[in-house]
Amino acid sequence: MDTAQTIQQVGGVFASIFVVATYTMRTMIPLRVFGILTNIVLIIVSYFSAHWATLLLHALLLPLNAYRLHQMLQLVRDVKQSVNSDLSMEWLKPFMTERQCQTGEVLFYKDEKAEDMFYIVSGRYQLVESGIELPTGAIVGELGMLSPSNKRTQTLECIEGGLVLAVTYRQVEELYVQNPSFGFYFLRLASARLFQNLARAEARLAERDERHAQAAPGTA
Amino acid sequence: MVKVPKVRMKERLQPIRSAISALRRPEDRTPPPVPEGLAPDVVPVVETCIRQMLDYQSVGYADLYVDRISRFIGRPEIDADLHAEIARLLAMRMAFRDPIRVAQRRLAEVEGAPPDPDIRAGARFIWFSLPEVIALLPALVADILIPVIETFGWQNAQVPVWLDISGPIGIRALRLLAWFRRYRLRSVRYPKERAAVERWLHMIDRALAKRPEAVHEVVKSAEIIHGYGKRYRQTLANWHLLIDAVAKPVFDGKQQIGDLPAAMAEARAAAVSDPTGAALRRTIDAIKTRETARVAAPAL
Repeated sequence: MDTAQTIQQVGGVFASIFVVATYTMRTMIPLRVFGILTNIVLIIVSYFSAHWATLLLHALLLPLNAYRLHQMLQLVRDVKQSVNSDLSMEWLKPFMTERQCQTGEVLFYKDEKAEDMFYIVSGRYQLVESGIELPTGAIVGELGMLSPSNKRTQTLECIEGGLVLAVTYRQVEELYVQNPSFGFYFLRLASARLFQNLARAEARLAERDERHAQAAPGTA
Repeated sequence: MVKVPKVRMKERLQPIRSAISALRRPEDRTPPPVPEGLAPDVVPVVETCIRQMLDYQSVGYADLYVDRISRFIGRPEIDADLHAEIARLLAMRMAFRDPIRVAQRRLAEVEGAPPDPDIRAGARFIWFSLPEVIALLPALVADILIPVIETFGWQNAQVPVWLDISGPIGIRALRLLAWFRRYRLRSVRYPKERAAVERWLHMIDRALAKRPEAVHEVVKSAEIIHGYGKRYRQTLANWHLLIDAVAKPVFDGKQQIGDLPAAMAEARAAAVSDPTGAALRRTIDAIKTRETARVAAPAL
């Protein structure tokens, strides 16, 4: 038996093991790793057996698997970093799609079922009920995904045309299911942002109470 | 030697049979319960409307109806009569008028339901524009077809929906059209209709917060929208115009109208039978001119 035949036979066995392993993986990162190993082995085997179509197929699949693996690892790194620094949600941008908004367009209405979150890139947007204008770079609707009622608490209207990035909760849920590390850090991030909002609300309340106390006449 | 019990072929096929029967299981038609906290007079109206939503679409859609009508429970500004009116008009707005709706209404007539007042007696066809028919398809398909019809200049092409229920062929054709109901909520049109319904509810909410005396008129403004095809498109456009030019600027504090309910009633009367929107625009201009003069006039 010559070297080429040995490589074909041994490679065939390893490729079969890796294919089975790939199919048994439950989460995305190990699935991609085994996918990459399968691609490498099948490229080698098909080269020695002169199966050019198979070689071409796996030569295409290898960079695709590698890119997706990189994307997943990067996502976990970014979320982890965000939890430990500024609690930003910028890491979600590569998974979002662009949406042009016209002046007067309403992105969502109060009490409507929340289905997606938005990242404001340009233009001006106002929460109608509270009159608060949101700055560019703000993320809207990230807590709706975790709230039990799953409803919008305000209406968001575009008051000057611009661009927003949107991602559906379903897409985020898919990332969550595919990648448990992401899920863990996402929960930590969402909780931290919720606590941050609570702290802000408490500070505002304390400030208001202080103003009232100063304005009220002395009782002593 | 341990004897392994033989598994019969019938048992082996059981999971596959279960999966197939689960797929073929008849659609759940159990109506969702009427929400708690409704006034006794409103309950029968809501019950009827829930059944309408089941006929129109599905249990999930009836759930959405219940969720929407529940938003007004416990609000002191909404009395039983107004809540019942919101319930009735909400059902009407949620059952938006697409070609599938025509088929559903005609098939209901076969089963003894009264004729649809928006379908002219004796009419053999209702015409829908080609983009309107394509808008029934899921975005994945419609996004491919719409540029194609634009390339060929077929935007204004008209497609007839056959209304004949006198023979089996006509009934089968309508049944086929009604079958597309299952794709309705995934169509290109649905998000637009959903946004229009949410806008109406939002305007009721804003009227309650800003001008409670105008809330009856905001609710009744939904009556403007009626008909099928071109008429439906025009009346929906008229409603948006009325809201954009009369109600919303007042709620936003950008326009002053002393008697908002009267102004809205006047605009509604003009909008309901306006086939082009021109009469409504003239009425709105007259309202604005009158209000400008009123604000400018010195107080006596």
